[in-house]
Amino acid sequence: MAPMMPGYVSFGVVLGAAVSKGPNPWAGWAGTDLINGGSAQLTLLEMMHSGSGVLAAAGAALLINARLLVSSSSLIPIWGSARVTARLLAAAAVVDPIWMISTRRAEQGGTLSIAVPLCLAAVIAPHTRLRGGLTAVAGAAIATLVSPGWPPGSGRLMAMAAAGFCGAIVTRRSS
Amino acid sequence: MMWIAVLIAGLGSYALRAVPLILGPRLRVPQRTQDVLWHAGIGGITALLVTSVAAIGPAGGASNALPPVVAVAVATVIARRGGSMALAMLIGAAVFGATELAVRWIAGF
Repeated sequence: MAPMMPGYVSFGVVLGAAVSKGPNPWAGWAGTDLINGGSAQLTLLEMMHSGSGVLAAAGAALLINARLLVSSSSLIPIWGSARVTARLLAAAAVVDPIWMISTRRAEQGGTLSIAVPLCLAAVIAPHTRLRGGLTAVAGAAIATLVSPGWPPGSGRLMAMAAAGFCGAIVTRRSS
Repeated sequence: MMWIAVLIAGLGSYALRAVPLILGPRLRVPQRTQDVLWHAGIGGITALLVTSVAAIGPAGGASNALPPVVAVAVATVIARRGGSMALAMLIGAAVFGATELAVRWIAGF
C-alpha cells in the first residue's frame, strides 16, 4: 500500500475540499465511509454541485463502482471459504488499491491541483493494457471533451456508456 | 437530497462488493456484462481525469493546458509500464513544474 499512499492522501485532501464546498458537508463526508470509493464519491459530489438530479448522481456513482462487482468476483478464490461474517466485513474493504494488491499476491503469491489527475492517471493506466482498455479510455475521453455544454452529469454518463460500449466491442473482437 | 444520493450510492456500492463474496461461484456474471461494467467504470474515472485536467489550465488557453496534459501523459506512460503510483506522481509532478516553468519562460520573450 505504501507506494500508493502519496496519491491517495492528496486525492483525499481534494475530496475533502470538494465535500466542504457543498451545501451539506455532513452528507458529503458520510459518503467517504458509505460509498468508500474516491472516484465515485467525487463524481457524485460534482454532479450534485452542478445541479444534477439525485438519481442521476447516485446512478453515475454506482456505475463507476459497478466494476467492483467484477473485482469482488475475482477475490472469491481468496475469500470464498471464509465465514459469512468475514466475507461481509471483507466486502467493505474491496477498493481499487486493495484489489490490485490482493490479485497480484494471489497471482504471485507538485501541486495539489495536479495531484488528482496524476493519481487518476495512475489508476487508469493499467487498464489500458487490457484488451479494449485503451479504446474504452479513448472513447470516454472523447465523449467528455465533446460534452462541456451538455446538461449537468450527462457528459459523464455518456463517457461511461462510450467506454463500456467501445471497450466491450474491442474486447469481444480481439478474443 | 445529498443524503439520499449518498445513501443510494453507498448501499448500492456495498451490495456490489458483497454479493459476489456472499454468493461465491454461484454468481455468474456473463463475460460481456463484465466487460461493459469494467470498461464503463474506468470510463467514469477517465471523465473525472479529463475534467480535472481541464480545470487546471483552461484560463490561459493552450499554453496553460500544456503542463497538466504533459504531466498526465508522462505519469500514464510510467504507470502503464508498471511503475508505482508514487513514482508516477513524483515524476508527473516534476514534469508539471518543469513544463510550467518552460511555458512561462517562453511566454516571457
